[in-house]
Amino acid sequence: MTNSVKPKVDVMQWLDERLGLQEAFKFAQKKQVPIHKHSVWYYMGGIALMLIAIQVATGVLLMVYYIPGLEAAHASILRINSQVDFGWFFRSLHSWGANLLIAVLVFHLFSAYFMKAYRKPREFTWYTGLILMVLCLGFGFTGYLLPWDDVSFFATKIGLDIASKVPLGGEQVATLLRGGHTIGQATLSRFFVIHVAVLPILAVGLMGIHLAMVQLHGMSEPAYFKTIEAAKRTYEKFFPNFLLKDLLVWLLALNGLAALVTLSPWGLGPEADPFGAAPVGIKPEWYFLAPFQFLKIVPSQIGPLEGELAGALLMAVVCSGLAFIPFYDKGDDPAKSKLATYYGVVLLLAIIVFTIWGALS
Amino acid sequence: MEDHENKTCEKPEPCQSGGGCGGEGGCSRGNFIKTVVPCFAGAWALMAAYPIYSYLTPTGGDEPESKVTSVTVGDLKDLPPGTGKNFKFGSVPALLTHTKDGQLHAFTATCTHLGCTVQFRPEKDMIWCSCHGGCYDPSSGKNIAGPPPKPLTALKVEVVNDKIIVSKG
Amino acid sequence: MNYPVWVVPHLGGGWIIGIIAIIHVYLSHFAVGGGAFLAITEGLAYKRKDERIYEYLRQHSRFFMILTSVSGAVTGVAIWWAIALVNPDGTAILIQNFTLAWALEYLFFAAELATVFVYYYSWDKVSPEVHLKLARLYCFLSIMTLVIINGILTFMLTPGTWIKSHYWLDGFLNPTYFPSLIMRLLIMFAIAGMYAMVTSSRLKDEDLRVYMAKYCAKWLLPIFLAGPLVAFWYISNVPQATMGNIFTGIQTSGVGNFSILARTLYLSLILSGTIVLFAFFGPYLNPKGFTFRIAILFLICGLGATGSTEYMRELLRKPFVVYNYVYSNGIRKEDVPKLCQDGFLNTGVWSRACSKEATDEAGRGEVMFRYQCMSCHTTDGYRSMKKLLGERDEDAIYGFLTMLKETNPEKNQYLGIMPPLTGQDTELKALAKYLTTINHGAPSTNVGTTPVVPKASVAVTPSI
Repeated sequence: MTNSVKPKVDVMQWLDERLGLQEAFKFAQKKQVPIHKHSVWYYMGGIALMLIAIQVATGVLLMVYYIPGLEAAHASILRINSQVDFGWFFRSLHSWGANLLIAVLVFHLFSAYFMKAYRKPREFTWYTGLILMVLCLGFGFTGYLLPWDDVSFFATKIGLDIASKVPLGGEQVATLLRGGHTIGQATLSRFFVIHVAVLPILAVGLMGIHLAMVQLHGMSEPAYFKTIEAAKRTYEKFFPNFLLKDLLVWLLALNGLAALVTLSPWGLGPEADPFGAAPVGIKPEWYFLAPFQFLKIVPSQIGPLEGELAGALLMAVVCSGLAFIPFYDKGDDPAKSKLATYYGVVLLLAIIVFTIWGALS
Repeated sequence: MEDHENKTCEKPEPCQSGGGCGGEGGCSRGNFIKTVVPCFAGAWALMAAYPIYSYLTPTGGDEPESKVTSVTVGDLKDLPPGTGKNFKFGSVPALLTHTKDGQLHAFTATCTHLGCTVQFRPEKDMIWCSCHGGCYDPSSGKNIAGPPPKPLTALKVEVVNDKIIVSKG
Repeated sequence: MNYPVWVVPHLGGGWIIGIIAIIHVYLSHFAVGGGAFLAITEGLAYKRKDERIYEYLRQHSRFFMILTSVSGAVTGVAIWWAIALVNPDGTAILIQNFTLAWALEYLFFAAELATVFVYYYSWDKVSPEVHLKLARLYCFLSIMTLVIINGILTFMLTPGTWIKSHYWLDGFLNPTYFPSLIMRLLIMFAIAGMYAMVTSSRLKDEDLRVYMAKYCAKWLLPIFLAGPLVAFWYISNVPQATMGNIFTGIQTSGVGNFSILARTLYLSLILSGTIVLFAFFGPYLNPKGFTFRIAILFLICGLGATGSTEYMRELLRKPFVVYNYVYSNGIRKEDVPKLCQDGFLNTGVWSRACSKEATDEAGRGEVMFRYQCMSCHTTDGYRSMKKLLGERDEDAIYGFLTMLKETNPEKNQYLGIMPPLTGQDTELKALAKYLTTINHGAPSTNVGTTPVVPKASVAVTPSI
């Protein structure tokens, strides 16, 4: 051992005596990842985590210059985009990062669903995950208004109008979010607080539980993997092997994000004019296109219910299937398992079809 | 070739043994690489963090600080003798005084003690700093009492068509 | 204007050159770096008398020989095909001025290819000493091919004192010659390591595979250590006007053509940084887990980094094809005043003939467009004229064109990225008429507020 190595050993010992690192290392050494033909989906959660970190970092940077006031919001974003050094870069990272994050979360949700990772004992992981998905969509919805350009103003208006139609409290929730009956300063302030304080606190808390659950229960193994002989199953150690591979995938994801940001930076529309007409052909961001398009095709009256209301209720029922699935498909009945898979396939296909349809119309 | 030696030796690099074996004059190639690479990595990491630093560094684009060379403060009739007025000179606070002898004086209003903004106190006939009680002469700006170590910086005052114009001294 | 124009719809001729060139650069850098790899790795195998490394090299050199001699050669010639078709005027200048260099390059290529064939087919037929010498000969010959082509490539960006002397050696050994040479060598070592990782990942012997993965990763060490320094050296010798373009791009709204150079520079830096990190976290720290799939992904990453860097390098030179001498549309800078005075359409062999064939004013305008604009713009694809024209009507377009004719940078902010428009007033009017047919004077759905070109008289809403 050369001289340069000795001090390192002492430092580790010093920390361990105070922080109990040895226990943590032993626990970490145990974590392993099953290797099978669907292992590639295990990367999704990590990529999402990395993108969330980027969102937090760029979000903080943007907050240095962003002003959540009616007169100044649009101008502050314009200033970030055109006068602050590298401003456009960090802003585009944030906007594109948000879109990539939601796309990755969809992959993560559905891959976990089809691998049936919601089964016992991982129900809490599943539920925290579902709530996190809703939170991230909330991030997207609230963040979208902040630049206060015409598209974001009207997209928010449409979104809140739809929310207000939900029975049993929809009107009240929409008014609370809006801070009144029209979208104005109150809305901007509330959306800002939700976006930078409320949702982040909830998200961090839930992610903590989510990740703790994953550490507690280990990586879920698909059913067919469990049927393989114990000796023949291959596992890979998480530290350092899988983590290093994780890092490679993160680098690739970063590359994709960098290409999008530099080759197609995020622009800014003209400032919102609440009394102006909505821009022609206005559409929400792609992640809201599916419900948007679905509501468009629903007839205006279904029985006693208003069309939009019926459509919203139908979507809520369908999506709540995701919440009930751990109680339905417990892994003991192959027929139920198959039905659960079909349900997921139908749901995914419906989302894809409606999204594409919405994009093309 | 069986090459058993290579299999048992953990690091099969031919000349870089990464530790202490061999080497020119006490510093083997392995050790050199092990020191140089982290140093360069640190340097490049700093370089990569430069955009964040640049983003956060204010350029002062909104308030062109040193560009302001003269300011019109107001009408002469609004400033009777024995009074003073605080105003903005570009991005710097400034003070205009109309002393009892009929002269106009202007100074930058940043107290030379710890930077608070000074004001004219008519009842004392003195420029006074509320933070620690420093006093300056309203004609010369000289520090006459209290903690301030230096006088206030003087600005030039002219009256053109009854308008008071202050410019850089 | 002395040659027929090749119209490539949607993509534009520039990208034909670009796509072929990017692939060729990726392969040719493997050829040169791989030559050094063969020489050094065989030297390693010879010194340690390690039969396993010799066995690996046999495998690897077959892959190397086929890839470089077939794909490398074909794409190289394809570049000639593309540039001759897309910009014959510019190509003519390069050929005429560097005839000797091109001839020498051809000889080195021929010798290089011959050597690699002998190298591969003589594996067990000559002694290890002779074979090692062959590897070293190949390495030398391939580096010589770089030494020559680098002169011509860098001449295009920084012709240096050639502008005055017109002496070929002045143009060859220009200000960016040495920075570019060293930069490319560093890149080549990295690419050689990356390709070798692909062949290494297929080794069956795990110990050897682990050893080779780490060994190949070390080939990225030179560019990691020296890359940023040499890049800085290169950038500091690039024309100052270009530097201005880069810094404008740091602040101004990312959306817009003024900032494309800065943005591709960032992309190139980010992707290059990724390559180094990928090599560190992948084959270096985790050689056991380095699979063929990961190696291929790595190679694709490398193509992205190469592509963005070459794109950026080409953008550095805009609006010229030989800096301060010939514009991208083939017009020589010194001819601009004459063309404005005497007219564009009646100078130049082919443009004159085409304009005579045109039946109406818009037809003559189309000839103007093809010879002065189409080298960089397509009508509705890359750098779409339709998008850039926006809502302008014929009068507004004519006004814009008049501004583009200005050679004073205060009056024409586009001089940093576009050649000045040449021609008489009637020709500009014809061009305006033709351009109106592209956007029909129709309202544009692109409404983006970007504070670009503050002094221009016409509001600009540029977007990609």
